[in-house]
Amino acid sequence: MTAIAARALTMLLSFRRSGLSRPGVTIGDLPILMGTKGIGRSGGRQTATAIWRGVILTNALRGAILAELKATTRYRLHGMHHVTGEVDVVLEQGENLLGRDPAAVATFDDPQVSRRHALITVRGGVVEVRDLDSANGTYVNGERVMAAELREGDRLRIGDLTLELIGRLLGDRRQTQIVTSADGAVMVVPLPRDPNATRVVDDGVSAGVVAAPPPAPARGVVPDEWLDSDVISEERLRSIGVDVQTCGFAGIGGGMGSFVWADLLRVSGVPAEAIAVIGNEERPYGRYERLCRNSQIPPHERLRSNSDSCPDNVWGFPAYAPREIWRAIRGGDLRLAGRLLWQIFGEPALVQTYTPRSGDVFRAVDREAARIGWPAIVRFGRARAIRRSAEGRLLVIASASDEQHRRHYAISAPFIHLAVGYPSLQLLPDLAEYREAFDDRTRVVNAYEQHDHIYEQLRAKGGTVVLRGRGIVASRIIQKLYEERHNNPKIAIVHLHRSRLTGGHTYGSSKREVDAEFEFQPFNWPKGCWTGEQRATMERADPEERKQLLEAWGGTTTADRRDWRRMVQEGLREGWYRSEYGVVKELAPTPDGRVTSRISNTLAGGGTLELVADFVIDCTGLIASPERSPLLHDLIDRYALTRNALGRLQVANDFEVTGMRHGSTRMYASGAITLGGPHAAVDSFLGLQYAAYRAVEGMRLADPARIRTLNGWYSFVQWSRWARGKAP
Amino acid sequence: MTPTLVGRWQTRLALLATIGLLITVIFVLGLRSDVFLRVLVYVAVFGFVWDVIYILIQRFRWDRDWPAAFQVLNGITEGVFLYAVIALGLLPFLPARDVAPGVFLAHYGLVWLAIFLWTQGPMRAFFPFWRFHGGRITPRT
Repeated sequence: MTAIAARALTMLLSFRRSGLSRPGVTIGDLPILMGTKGIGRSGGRQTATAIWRGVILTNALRGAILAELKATTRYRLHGMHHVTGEVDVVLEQGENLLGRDPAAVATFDDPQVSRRHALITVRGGVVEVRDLDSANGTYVNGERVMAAELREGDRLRIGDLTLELIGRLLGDRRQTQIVTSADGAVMVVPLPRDPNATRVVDDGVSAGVVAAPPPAPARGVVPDEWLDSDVISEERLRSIGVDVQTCGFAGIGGGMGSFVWADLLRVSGVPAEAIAVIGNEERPYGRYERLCRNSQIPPHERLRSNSDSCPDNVWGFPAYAPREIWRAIRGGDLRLAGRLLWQIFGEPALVQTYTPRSGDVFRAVDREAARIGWPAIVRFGRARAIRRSAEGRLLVIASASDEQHRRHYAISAPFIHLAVGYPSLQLLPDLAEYREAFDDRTRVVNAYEQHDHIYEQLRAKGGTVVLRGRGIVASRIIQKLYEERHNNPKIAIVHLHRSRLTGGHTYGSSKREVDAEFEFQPFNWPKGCWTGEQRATMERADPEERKQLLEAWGGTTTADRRDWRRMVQEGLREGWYRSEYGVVKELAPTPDGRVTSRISNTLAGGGTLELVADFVIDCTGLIASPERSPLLHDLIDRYALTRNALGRLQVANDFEVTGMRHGSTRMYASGAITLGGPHAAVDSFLGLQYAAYRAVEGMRLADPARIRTLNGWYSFVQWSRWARGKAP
Repeated sequence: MTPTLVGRWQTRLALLATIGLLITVIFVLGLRSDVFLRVLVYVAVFGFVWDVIYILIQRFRWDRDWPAAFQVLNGITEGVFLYAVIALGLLPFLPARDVAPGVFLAHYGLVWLAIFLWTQGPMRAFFPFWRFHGGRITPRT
């Protein structure tokens, strides 16, 4: 051993902490190392066969490096689901079950995933996947497999979910080096503390290594361990082939929140080239539209949004109602034009509130997207991490990997805008339990999931639906079921509530209207929350008051639509719609393929009630807790950011995430992740525009040279460019 | 728009001093009488009080909003009230004999209509964030 040590050549360094300048080998290099296998191999003899970054690779050396790298690697599966959002699974040594079984390492909200879908086995550094006779199969890099070995960067697909295998070095083994001798003996020894020591090569006996250590890991991929640092050097990212794009403004999300922010920047004199938005939707309303469609808002249906809330036009002029009136007049439909005019004149006191058709809003956004050069602003990808850069800016590291290649890129900017929307769907706890225990995603669904199969079956056979939640989504589902009743009158609805709704919420001298177990409000917050009295009140309030105000103004409400009221009244009269009250104890399948809700009936003094139905639809909504988003979770953790009284991201009154200030850089947030902050109506078109306005104003104050104040004559000039469809 | 009290005051003053003044000047020059200027000043002065009343009523509305129909109603009430106090000779510097009902209606009505239409949209092309502050011309954030 002493002899070996004496002849040993140091080599390969540093499984190092990111941000330092020591070069080395990381898991990103595995494919390269694997790829050199066999080059120059002759007669089975172990010879120096390939030069890799200045190091002569013997097979023995290569084997040792691979073994060490793999043994010190912890694997994760990471991906994005089109409905539920980001999925992140840490794989343990041994067996990891994927599927909807409670024993699975992660459960997936996807009807195409089987209960026991696939098994991932990790032994040392070897990861294997085996399909467990799943209904829809397991795919690796696009090919259906029964069993396969997974390598770093491979793409595993189950159901609609594609997961990428990502390696991550174990913290306690990071400081390691491999020492090998000329005769192939290999040792793993701790890395000396002095980084320079790793560069020392014993040139006395150069049996294997001829040069100083190699500089960098796989091209274009940010090693995971680099992300373990608060500060990352842009220069260093470039040196490993990561495309680092520098711009003035970086947006994260790519949905409506990012769009209205970029739109405001554009009309405030910022060129499209200075803005980059990371997202994975072709159109800004992509995800929103899917959620709309699933919750029964097709393009001709009206959104719960105001005429003046125009994501395509920050001025809100002309609003959607005048535009629709104009179209009606041009189309010769004067009755419609008159009705709409009466609506915007008398709403909500004399007539029900005007709301725009979803399809009209999306078309208007398409037009504005083309006008401001949105396609040139969007960068496809998924933001993985936000870091401060050594160069004094903020960095967003994003993954643009596809089925074949793993690739990262980074955007560096002094200003960042975070608008990631809702990380995931919410399912009431008892419903989630049922789905997991009985492997049944067809009878129990969330209204935001695709659930057309329910309507198809009801149309064909009729049946009973249990609705949970009394908000606007429930109203829309009732409308859809009402329409289906024209095809099959044997459809019945049981609306299940925890308790009877006796009186509406009150605030000051006002009270919210209640009728037939629904609480009415034109929009999801009292209107004054956007721009009026409640906006100012909320901004002034302290964190605890804000929580109380949200409780007073919030709660589940639906819109006072005459047709919806009529449907419910009709249903009550004809007996196909009724309400039940109680707390659900559990759900269970029945032998004839239906589902029973066992309810402790609070109205009947605690007696139990068994409610048998064909389907249960959860209309309670979406989750905005930052834990459900790996990006936010990492950000809050990394920079010890504060949360507000609702546990969301703490922002200042101008929506700045002040904890991220770093020299002259600023980060802002908007949307559902900021609820509990300075604005109640953050999750709405106008609320997003308000947040964007405050953020852009904050950015302007920090850097007045880049942004113009959108006011007075300049604003009018911009508006007239909008009206003429000319670029800003 | 869901106005706040300060927003109501500021918007009223600013628009009377611009659009209102413009229309008034036309009347002053056309009919060679400065009585319209005095009417305009009274509209502003009484307006301060009206706005307080409106805000108090607004507090009883859950949404704290003020529909367009209410604005029309306000315009009529304010006009009738103002003409009544003028006709009763209660206002200093504005004797009843100076104000003919038809001319009052034309002047007051035009000023009101121009301001109403302006605030329904065109205002926002020049001041996009006016609405975000409940009608304040000087946003306080």
